[in-house]
Amino acid sequence: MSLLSIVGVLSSAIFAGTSLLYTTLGEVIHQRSGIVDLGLEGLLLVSASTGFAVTSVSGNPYLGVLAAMLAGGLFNMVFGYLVINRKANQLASGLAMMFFGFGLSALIGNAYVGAKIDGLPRILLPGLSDLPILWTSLFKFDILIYLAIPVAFLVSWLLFRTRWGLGLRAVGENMDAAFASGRNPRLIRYQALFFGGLLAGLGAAHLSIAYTMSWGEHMTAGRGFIAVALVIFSRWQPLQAIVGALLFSGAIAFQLLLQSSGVQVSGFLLNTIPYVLTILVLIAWGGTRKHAAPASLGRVYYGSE
Amino acid sequence: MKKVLFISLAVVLALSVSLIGCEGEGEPAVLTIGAIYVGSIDDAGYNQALHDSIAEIGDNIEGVEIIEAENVPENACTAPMQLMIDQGADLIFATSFGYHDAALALSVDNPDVVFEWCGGGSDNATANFGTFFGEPPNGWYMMGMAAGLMMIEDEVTDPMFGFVAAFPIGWTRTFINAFTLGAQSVYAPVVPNATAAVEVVVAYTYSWSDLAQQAITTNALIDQGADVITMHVDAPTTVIGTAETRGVYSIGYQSVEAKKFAPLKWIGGIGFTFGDLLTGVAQDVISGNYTGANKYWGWDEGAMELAEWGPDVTEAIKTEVLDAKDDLEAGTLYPFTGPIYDRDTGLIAAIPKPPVGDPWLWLTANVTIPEWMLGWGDNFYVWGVTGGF
Repeated sequence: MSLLSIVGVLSSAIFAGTSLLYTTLGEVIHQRSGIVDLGLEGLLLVSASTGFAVTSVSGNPYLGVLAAMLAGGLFNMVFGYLVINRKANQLASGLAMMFFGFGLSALIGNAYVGAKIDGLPRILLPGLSDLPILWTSLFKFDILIYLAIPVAFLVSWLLFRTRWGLGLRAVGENMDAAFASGRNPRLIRYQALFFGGLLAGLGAAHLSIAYTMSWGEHMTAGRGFIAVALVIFSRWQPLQAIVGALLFSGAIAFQLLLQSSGVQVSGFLLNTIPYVLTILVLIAWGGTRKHAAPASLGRVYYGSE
Repeated sequence: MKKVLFISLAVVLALSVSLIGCEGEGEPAVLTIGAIYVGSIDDAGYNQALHDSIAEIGDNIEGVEIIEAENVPENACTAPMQLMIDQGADLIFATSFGYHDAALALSVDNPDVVFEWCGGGSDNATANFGTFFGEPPNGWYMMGMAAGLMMIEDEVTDPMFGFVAAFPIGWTRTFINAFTLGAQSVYAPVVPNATAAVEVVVAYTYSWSDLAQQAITTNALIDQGADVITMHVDAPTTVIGTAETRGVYSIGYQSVEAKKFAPLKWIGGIGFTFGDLLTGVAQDVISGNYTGANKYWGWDEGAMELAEWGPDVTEAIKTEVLDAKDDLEAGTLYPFTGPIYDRDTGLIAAIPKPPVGDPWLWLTANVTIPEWMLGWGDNFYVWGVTGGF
């Protein structure tokens, strides 16, 4: 393994892990308020296609990122109507939204499939400009990557150090108690869905506008579900989500590096490495009472009327 | 509230069902063509190449009407084709590999409609069912030559080429082998168990269109030392774009439009250009002279073309590749001229060229092939290919 390969794995982990991190942060907020959002995959696709389309039409990637975030938030509002107002089953509604997202994103993105856009500009880490392009291209990150960890800290602060976060977690633990203490569980869940949708949309925007700079149907390839798994992996803590996202993306990059170095193991088996690794870590950590799921996760709020 | 919802749902459903059978006003078309694609028609890849070819029929013949359906999944393609027949299609192009069986079945039920399937390896041809394809291995051989010549030009002593592929299917292995043999042909003759002059590393993403995975794979190959990147995936844009950001050469496949994604480091590419040939098929259908056949159109018939060359390619390289092209078209050069060395088991007897006049048959697992075709690229890699277990 040359130095370039190892550094390359780290760079790929950061590039691919950023969108995963934003998405996981969004889902952490959803699940902390007690809603399991299985429609993340559809949300990611709709946000990615919207952001890409807007960037392609307007030529402004920042506008595209904004559009993607808004699309994510609004998509979740539909989901919120289903699970909060109509009190539908969260899992089924989430899956229905996922399929809806497949179709809607294909419709939005159809005219832009082969389009070429100028993605977000990439800024080199300071002090490295003397290296050849083969190396510097590994360290040129766009602004969303630089913002990823600060945003994780922001979400952690929001959840654990503000009244709003307290109310949100209270709704996730016991909706009736939250209601009794004067909060509006429905409103808080809507807020959680919107804010989480903004974050997940940001992750999708990074994927299509900044990283791959293209759009294709189903381009997220299951990342929405990986984010749901990573939320559990990170025990509903935003800061641990950073580790989870980096670990998973790093494992993907590593197995592809193994494939590229001609190692004599079937590529199909190597492809399972990231998932096996996640399961192993989960087994090693085990479960504790302190890090259990929010008590009302997946429960519908019927109110006290 | 619920009542309103149910009523509006019923109205929407009724409207959408009634719109299905709608037809516009206008003169009857000379020929109505239906085409289904597994991806998007502007993906700068396979589907765009087929779409552009079919659209040329409309340019070449007056009064042709074309109905198209994109993103048709391979396991659910009967309904769209049937819908097109109901709308009056006389000629259906089923452009993806997995559409074969459904198209064949429909051709039995609809003897008045002609079905043309794009792909290789089928030996089904009836009065209203035919197949067509190009000769990609010849093109890959030329691209291998171009890549090798660029490395000699840049004085790279130990070149390594990265190949990003989706699935380890027969086509892909044949293309990898042809590419490798082409690159090796411009270096010294290959001797087994000696260090190969040219190394081709292949990595599989196990998806035709997982773009992020393609980006990571491209970077992994480049970090391993790849000097040129090429691919066999649905749409080449992400792989080529990623190679461009790393400052590495790229070679394209499927459509000749992909150069715009790598303005600096593009070497060349090959793509399908069936336009004139499909026009011939359409004219046969119009005149009533159509008979089904398994067609493998050669480079000399214009079924495939070289893409525009990149800015770094010298005139000498272009000349050498174009000379090889003439030889390949004339039949005096053949990519799989022996001796060929299987990287696992050693020497394979030179794979003989099929007798003159017979179509090429690229191997798929389900086709009964004559004995002289055994060992044809489907289940082995030539010496010099790394990875892809």
